Amino acid sequence: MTAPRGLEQRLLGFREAFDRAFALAPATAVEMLDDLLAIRVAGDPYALRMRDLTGLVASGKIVPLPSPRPELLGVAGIRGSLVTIYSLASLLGYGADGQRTSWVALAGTPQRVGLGFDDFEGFLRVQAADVHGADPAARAGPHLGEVVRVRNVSHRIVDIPSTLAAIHAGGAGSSKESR
Amino acid sequence: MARSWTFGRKIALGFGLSVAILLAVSSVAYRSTDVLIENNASVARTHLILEDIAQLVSLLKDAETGQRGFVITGDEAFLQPYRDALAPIPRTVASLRSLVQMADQQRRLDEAESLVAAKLAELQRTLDIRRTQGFEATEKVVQAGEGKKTMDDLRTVLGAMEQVERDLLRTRSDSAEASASGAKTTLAMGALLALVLVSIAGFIITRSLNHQLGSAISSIRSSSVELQAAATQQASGSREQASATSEVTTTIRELLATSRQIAESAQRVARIAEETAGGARTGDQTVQRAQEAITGIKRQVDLIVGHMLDLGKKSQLAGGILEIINELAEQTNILAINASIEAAGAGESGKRFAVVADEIRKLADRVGGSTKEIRGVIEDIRSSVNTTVMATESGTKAVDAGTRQFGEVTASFKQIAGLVGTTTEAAREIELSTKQQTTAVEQVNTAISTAAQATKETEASSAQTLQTATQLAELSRDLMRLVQQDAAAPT
Repeated sequence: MTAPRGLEQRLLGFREAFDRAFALAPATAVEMLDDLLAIRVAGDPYALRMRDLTGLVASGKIVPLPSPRPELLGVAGIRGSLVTIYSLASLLGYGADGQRTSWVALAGTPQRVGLGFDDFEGFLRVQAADVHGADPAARAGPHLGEVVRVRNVSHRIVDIPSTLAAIHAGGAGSSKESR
Repeated sequence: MARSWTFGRKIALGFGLSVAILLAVSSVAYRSTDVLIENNASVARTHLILEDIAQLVSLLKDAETGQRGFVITGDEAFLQPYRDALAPIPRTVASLRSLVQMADQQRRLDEAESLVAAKLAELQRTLDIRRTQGFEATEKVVQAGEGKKTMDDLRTVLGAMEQVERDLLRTRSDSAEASASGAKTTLAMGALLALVLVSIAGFIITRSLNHQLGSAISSIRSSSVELQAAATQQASGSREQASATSEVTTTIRELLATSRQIAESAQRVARIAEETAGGARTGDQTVQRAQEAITGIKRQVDLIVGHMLDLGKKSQLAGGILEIINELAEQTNILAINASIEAAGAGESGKRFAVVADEIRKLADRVGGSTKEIRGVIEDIRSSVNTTVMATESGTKAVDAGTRQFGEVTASFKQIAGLVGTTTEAAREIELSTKQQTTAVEQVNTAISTAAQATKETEASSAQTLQTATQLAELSRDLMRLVQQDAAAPT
């Protein structure tokens, strides 16, 4: 029994890439690069700057809290700390109903908060020059200003400091107004 | 009653009457002839007795003559008549004794025989005396007259016998004449009576025969005419029957040819059926071998299905393991990301750690990509396995269906073989029946030929009968003409 020719080629490609990864010298100059996390919120592509984050964890059990703020999902225990979890979708202007929370991005020091979203696509390292301002004709939203295009998909970059400021200010609207 | 008598009876009566008369006349004639013969025999015996008496007297005279000559002469030569008479005298006496039947004549013959003996003794004594004592002594003896007396007595006795025989001869002659006269009268009267009776019987029989023969001949003539018509009709019918028989013979020959063709066809059918049965048996064996091969294929397919299901389970297990690897890679990726985040937060001192974390993250990314690829491959394998299992199950079902169909084919072949066997038997029975039918038809043909021959003979016989009837009619006319002439003649 022989494997199909395409599968064999892919296997060879994997082997070469694996070997090459250990053959090349480690890269040291990363100043001109921008590391991003590609995520999906309500099905739309977004990106988070890694330097704005303090961690990324899979969502565990979230204990809801009674609150007049719809973006507050509750609290969750993450690695021994009690962290307040907010809905990134609600913070970005989507409705809170029906949104899953599979991942939680941690941000803020010293008081860490969690931003819950439904899908994590992967790591993105892009040239800083590839990040540009958002198209004015595109959909406007809170905490959004830049956009990066990777493999023909435009990811809008969530402004984490703005978002944290809005949370601390007590509402998304104030955050919106701060921009 | 006499009218109802048959011809034979009437003729027998006439001839019987004549024969009775003839018998009576013959009886009378026989009796008269018998009497005549008896009288004739008695007369002949009487004549013999008379001749013997005369012979005896003559012999005694010869002996006496010889005795006298010798006495006178003393010469022995004169004794020759004496010597010649000595021997016949006893024979003559014996002959007389055999002829004489009456008691008186027997007594006289006894007396005559003693006198003959005394005479011969006296002659011998005188001869002896002459020889011994001479002529004178002999003369004295002769003169004594003893010899003469004996001779006279003998003549008297023999004369009485002769007289009695002559009287008897006369009486028998009268009786014979009377008997002959009676026979002559009886014959004449019997012949006359027979002539009269035979004439009467002949007249009566002739008249009766004329009458009865006339009516019988008339009947024969009418019957012969009817026989002519019947013979003509029979001849015509025989010709028609011969024609019909010929047609039947032709039809039977065609039927015989058809029966033979049917027998040959049935034989060919039987032969083909036997070949078909052989082919069916061979096909049955082939189908059985194919069924065994399909059973082997089914076992192999079941084995393949088992292996495929096992392969599916193992690929599912590999998928589970890959899922764990994927989760590990994701977790590693997350850890690498978090390490990168921590390194970024560490400032300048975290840059080298950031490089390692980046390498770990890349490696985790590649592992994640590889697991996705492997998942795709495993999914393809599972899909292929499922497809193969489904195809194999379809193949198994097809094999099962094929097995069932082969079983049905086997049953069909067996049924075909059975039916072909039945067909063979039927064809053989048809062949046998047709052969028997052919034999029967041949027998019928032979019988029809015999019947045709009989019909031809009947036709010939009818012609002969017609000819005979014609001759019989002519004969009856001739007889009638003769009878009518005979009947008309007395009138």
